Amino acid sequence: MKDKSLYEETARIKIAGEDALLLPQKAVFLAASKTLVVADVHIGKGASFRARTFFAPDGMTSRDLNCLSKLIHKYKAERLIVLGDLVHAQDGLTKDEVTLFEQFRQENAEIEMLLIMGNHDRKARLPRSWQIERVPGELCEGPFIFSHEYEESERPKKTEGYVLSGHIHPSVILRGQGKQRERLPCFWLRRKYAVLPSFGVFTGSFTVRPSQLDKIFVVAHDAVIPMIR
Amino acid sequence: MAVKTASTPLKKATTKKPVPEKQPTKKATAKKVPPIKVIDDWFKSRGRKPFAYQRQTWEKYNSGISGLIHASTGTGKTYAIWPAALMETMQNYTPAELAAYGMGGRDKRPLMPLTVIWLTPLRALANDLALSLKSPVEDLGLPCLVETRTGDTASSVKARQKERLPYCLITTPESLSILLSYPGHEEKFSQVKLVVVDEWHELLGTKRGVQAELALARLRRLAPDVKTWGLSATIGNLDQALAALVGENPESLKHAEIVSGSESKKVVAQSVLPERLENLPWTGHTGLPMIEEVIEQVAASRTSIVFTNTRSQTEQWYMQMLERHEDFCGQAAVHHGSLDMDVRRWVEEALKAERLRFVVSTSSLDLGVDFSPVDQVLQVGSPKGVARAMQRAGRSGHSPGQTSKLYLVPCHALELVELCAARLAMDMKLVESRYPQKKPIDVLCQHVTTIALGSGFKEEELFEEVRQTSAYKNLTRDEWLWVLNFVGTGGAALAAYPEYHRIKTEGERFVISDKSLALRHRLSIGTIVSDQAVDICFTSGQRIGQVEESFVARLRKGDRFVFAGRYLEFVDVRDMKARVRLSPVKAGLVPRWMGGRLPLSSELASVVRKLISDAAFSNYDEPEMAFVQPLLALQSERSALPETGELLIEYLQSREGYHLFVYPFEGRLVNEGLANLVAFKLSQVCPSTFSIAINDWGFEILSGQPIELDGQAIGDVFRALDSDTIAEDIRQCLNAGEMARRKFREIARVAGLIFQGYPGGSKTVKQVQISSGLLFDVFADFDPGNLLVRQAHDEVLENNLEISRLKAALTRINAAKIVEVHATRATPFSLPLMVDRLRGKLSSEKLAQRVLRMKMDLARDMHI
Repeated sequence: MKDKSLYEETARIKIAGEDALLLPQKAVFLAASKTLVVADVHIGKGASFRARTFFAPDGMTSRDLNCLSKLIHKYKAERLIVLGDLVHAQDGLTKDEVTLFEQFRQENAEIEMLLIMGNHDRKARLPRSWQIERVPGELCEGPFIFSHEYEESERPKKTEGYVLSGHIHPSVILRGQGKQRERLPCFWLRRKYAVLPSFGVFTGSFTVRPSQLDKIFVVAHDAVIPMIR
Repeated sequence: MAVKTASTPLKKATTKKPVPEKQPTKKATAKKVPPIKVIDDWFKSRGRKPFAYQRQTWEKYNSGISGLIHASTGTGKTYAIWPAALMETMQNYTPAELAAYGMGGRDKRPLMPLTVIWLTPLRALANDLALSLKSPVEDLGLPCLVETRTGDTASSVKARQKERLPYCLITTPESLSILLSYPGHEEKFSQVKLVVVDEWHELLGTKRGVQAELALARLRRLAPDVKTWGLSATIGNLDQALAALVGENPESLKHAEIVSGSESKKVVAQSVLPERLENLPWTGHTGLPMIEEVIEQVAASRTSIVFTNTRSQTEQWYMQMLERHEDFCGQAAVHHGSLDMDVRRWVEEALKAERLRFVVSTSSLDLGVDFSPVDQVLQVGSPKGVARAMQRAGRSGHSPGQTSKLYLVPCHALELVELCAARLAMDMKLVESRYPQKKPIDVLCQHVTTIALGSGFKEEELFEEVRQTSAYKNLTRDEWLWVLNFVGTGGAALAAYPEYHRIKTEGERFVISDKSLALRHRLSIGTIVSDQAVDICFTSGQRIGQVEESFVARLRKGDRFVFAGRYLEFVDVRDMKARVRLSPVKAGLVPRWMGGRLPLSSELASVVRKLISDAAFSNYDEPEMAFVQPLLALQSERSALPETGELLIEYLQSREGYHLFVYPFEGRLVNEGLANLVAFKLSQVCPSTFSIAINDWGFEILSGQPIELDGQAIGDVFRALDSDTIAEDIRQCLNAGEMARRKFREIARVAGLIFQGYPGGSKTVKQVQISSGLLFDVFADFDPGNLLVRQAHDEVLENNLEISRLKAALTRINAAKIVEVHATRATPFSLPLMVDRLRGKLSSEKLAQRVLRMKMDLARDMHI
């Protein structure tokens, strides 16, 4: 028996007046600039753990990069922006990991790729061969400010704009009838800024408790569900 | 005649001499007293006579036999074996040779080599044991140094022991493993003549028992002459216990026997009833509603132990008892495994010296050396097992032969039925069996790393050695290679992870690849015992004990909680230690520990079923049953009382949703398995999500939507389970539910996938590692052949869906007539399940579908 789909897979919303798609693969597509935005990929986290003799399985970087490629093709993105923490650590950038990204770059050679530097990126040396432009602070463009982390203290000094950020890896707790409970990653849209869920498959998340005025979009496997209070 | 020169070594090679006991040795220059007489005289000097079974054991030991002694606590098992070792020593050394040895410290004479290893499951027992063992040694003036080595041992002592081990080492399975992980240990262990495994029934059936089995197998290789003796309570499967102890090969078993100890003490058990039935709640686990009755009972006697099932309970009870009865102040104490060693030791000594009126304790005082100074024992809550009840009862009564008094205290009304069952079962001596674990891969991963660290190993040799144990007798070569690859390279043979090595090969031998792993590995060897624990200490630095990290994580500065019988105020966490100070305010939280709840044994469960069936026929002979008769009558009125041969099912609709209750009375583990299987089958009919609650009597399946299944259909579900396709159903069910995921937490810890953190380390543990949940998910996607995930599944199968027990349960259920009731109000049977907050989950719906029906947890305050 086919499931009646009472939900859309993606959420079409407006952020700062611009059309945006929230994707269940934990990415945002900005229609006007044809930009795919993700945060916190943490490439090489598995390898980094193994180098420190902690165990981690293999295959996650491939999965993440394949997913990115698919999204780029599906939405015909012309640009990819990573809101920080593209890589996890220097010792995670092994030959295999570096090569995987190089291949990914080749497959998407015509796409512009930018990385807003995050705390993890700053401690590593990104390979030149990746051909990804590094932005040390923030990128202001149109109504948006692309940043790794939103910091209230910085705001008054900088230009106005709606901040798109990562770093937190947000998730929320949901409760339902029959004593159900779930903790799921989410897109956290606040008044002055938004936080994207972490993109990498091997990343954990941090529970946030949104306020009454926030908008939350929960990532439930294959769909993005807006949470109505 | 040989001329002795100064350079002739005095020590002879220590080979076993087949000299009959009463003949003096020919080479002695002085007349040597036969060792057996020495021991007999010592007993006499203590005003005692050896029991027949003790002599029996000494004789067997002398002929090279290994074995298992079973008897109840306090009936002399320690001295059934210890004198035998001493006699062997007296046999093998002349008095002159013995005089050449010293006892360490300022005494510069060499120590006797390590001769006896005494394994005990609880470090709390080690000190008392040491006293018992030292007693004859001191009286006889033998240079046999007895020392302990556990998690409690001071690091200075441990460092000294690394160089020179004593004659007798009392230690735990994990501390023994750690010793095996030090390079160069082979020499030190080569002279061991005896390994005693104390309270073997406690270790058997647990992963620590497996750890012990592996260590024993290694010892048998290091010291081929070693004899192994287990001391145990009486259990249902002694033969299996013996095989697990001495090894599963015909040669070992030929030289191994079972010895039965003295007759057990008479146990008089009685349930404590409140004044009125209304005073007892329908649900509850603390038992505090009965506190006045307990205080009355304790005050009427000189000394008591009050046993509770959880550590939180001990803290709560202690505080409450003192608050309500001020006379107890200064005369009472708390005892449990998370308290600092000094605290525990103080309590143990005070108890022995009869300076305390009562001690509130968990199973940490269950086991013990042969002393029992208390007048009476109170058990709060159902003991869940006959053996456990008898063991605890055995802590009272002053010596073998005296009657033990056990008072059973109910925590909720229906628990009286279980207490009655326990009482009857004790009379019938229905002891449970303890089944050994079957080839847990995580423990093997840990052991392989230990051996690589310690001595290195040749692959074939270690494989054979491991297969000698009961636990791994069915280990296949493929599984063995998987373990080696996993530990060596971190993955299956096909995928190599170049950066990850724990062990590597050096020529023919496997050795540890990186010395820096050594400390981390040794630290994690204790992970089988405990969850992530955080030390609690005063700001002055004085240690009080440990609590679990999950409890500390929720504390804020100024929060108050109860621990070690005191009110404490949380200050901060520094260097992985939670610092506290005494709180002037007498109020606070009680910490929760994650320790597993013990399931009702199937032996007890069968007696419970019979009692309920009797009640269905209005037979309320037993005092407990007569007392709860009104409640059982209410159950009959709102629903039904299942007779023998019936299975009760209840339906109920409430604000929370639609409930289905099923009461197989099979203990929580089997009930959990049945619940998940039934829920899974239900969810296959139409996509749904269920929340599951379990207890020892039955289970609840709760759904937001109506449960479209009648009694007939449920009967069909049970019948379908009792078929050959059950294996496939179970596998699918396991993927749909959470049981395997939860088991995987512990497995990941034991196998070394997850590291607990360095003591005194500055990071919180979470920052250093991945959560086991994330690992499990990733394994499920990327490494499905992973044996550790399979182990999680297998453990669920063994424990929850234990095939033999499950099949027996299903046979009984399928022969039963299903009694279906549509209740309009909650019934006495169902209420404990409904209020249970610890729930499982199973779903066949798409996550998004479910999310549409759910609501978020919001922050209480508004902030932009």
